[in-house]
Amino acid sequence: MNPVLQLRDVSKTFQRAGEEVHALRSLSLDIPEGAFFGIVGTSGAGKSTLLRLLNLLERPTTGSILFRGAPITGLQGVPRRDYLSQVATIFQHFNLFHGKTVLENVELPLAVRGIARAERRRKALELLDLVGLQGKDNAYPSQLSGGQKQRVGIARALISNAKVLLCDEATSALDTETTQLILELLLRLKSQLGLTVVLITHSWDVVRHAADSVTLMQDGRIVETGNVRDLLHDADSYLGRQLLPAPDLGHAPAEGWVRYDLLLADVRQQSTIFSEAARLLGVTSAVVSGGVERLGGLDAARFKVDFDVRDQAPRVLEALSSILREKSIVLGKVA
Amino acid sequence: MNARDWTQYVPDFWDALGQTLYMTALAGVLVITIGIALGLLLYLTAPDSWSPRPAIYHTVNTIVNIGRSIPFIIMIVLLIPLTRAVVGTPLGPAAALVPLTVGFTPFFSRLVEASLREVDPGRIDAARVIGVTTPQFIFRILLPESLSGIIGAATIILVGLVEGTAVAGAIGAGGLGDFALTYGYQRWFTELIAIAVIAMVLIVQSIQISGDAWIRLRKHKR
Repeated sequence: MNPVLQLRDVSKTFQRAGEEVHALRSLSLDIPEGAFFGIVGTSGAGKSTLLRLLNLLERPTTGSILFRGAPITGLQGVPRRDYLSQVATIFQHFNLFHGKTVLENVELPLAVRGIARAERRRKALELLDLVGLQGKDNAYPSQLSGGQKQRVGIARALISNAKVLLCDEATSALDTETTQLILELLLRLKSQLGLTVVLITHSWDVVRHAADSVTLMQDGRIVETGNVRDLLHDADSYLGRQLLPAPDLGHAPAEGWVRYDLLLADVRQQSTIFSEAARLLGVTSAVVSGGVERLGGLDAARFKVDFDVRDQAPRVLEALSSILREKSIVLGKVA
Repeated sequence: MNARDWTQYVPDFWDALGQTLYMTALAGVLVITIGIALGLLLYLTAPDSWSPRPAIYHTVNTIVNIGRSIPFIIMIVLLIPLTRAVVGTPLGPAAALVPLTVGFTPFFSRLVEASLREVDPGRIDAARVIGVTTPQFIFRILLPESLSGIIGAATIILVGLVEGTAVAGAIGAGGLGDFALTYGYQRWFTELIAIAVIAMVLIVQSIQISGDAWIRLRKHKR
């Protein structure tokens, strides 16, 4: 798909206490249209800076950023405002205006663009409905829970027909349950409105739950990027392994058994492997560790499995490998 | 009529009360208006703020600091030529408006600046990504979000002005301070001092109570 946002050799350097801090180092990235694009990294990796370049809160020191092919750096006046209508932001701490009601918060982006009161009220109520906040229009932000505040934030971001929603740690201030609900809402709005969602987070759980593309950042650089399905199918992908961790329980395989690290990108299609190995080759298997996760809309699984190849010819091991390959099961490095 | 009958000066008390209220109210309007403007200027042009303008910021900052460092009673004397030029006379309640405004605006602009800085930077980011212009930012976001703080600051400055009118009264402005000194202290009418003090206490109380009540009404909006 076409990239909706592109970063080309973007660097950002801050002056802090007389010292240069390199927040981003010559970074290039394409964000595909329609993606749920997760950017993950520890604090200080530069992901917040990256987002603040996309919503024009900061300007890159060098490099360029393109929105549908046109540069956005240095936009002023009406073009800047038009861009910000299309690329909206929600925040970790919601950043609602406390002196305004929910309705006034949501309609503000339209009010500052001179849209008539009746029109913007109608649109704001429609959006409050869409995010599940019916009847809260006259409440003040201080009267809402964290999850409700983020819903207001989402409604406010989307009211000017945004095409891209930038989420700056948007669930980090919420409890696990509320995080799930907000992610479900974002997924629903993405498909309902055809949004591209760019979500930065330090939480792998958030990425696993929602993202279909993932980028890992570290020290102002991109370590790895790709869509979840490709990452899971790549035996050398660090991200693929991070998305589906399988802890080793410590004990080594028994004498004559071999251990495989198996990645099943679609567990429903592929998990017959164990019975097939038994039926076709007479190989017994034992799961050491592993788990199933819903990733990028698929139920993916990762297992560490020991196969009993005692008294088996090397031929059997080859046959086992070819069955695994046939079913597109990725073989990780054996522990 | 007994020459020592204090009640004969009650009409003068009402005049003095009127003068105090006149000075407090008019100086209040001027101080609050100019102070909010200066506070906004300080806030907006500060380094790393909405629209950094180091030259403007440092100029206004220095002027405000100078204004705040001059004791009010000296300020009145220093401003006599200006007062004479503006009002025509350095005496009377109207003339007192000049030193009251010049003397209290710097402090109030600092209080306003501090209230504006209380607005969470995250909300300012939110305003920026909505794409508001500077006037929209000031009137739709910055002032409404910091209104409770500004009301509190206005309460402080109005109470200060009541006291300021009494000081100005000592050098010819009239008002309750002047009344207490001339009739109470110089003519030994303790009753008149008491009445003047009670009146000032009541004025201060009503300012404070109104300010607090207004802020309480806004409790959801903070």
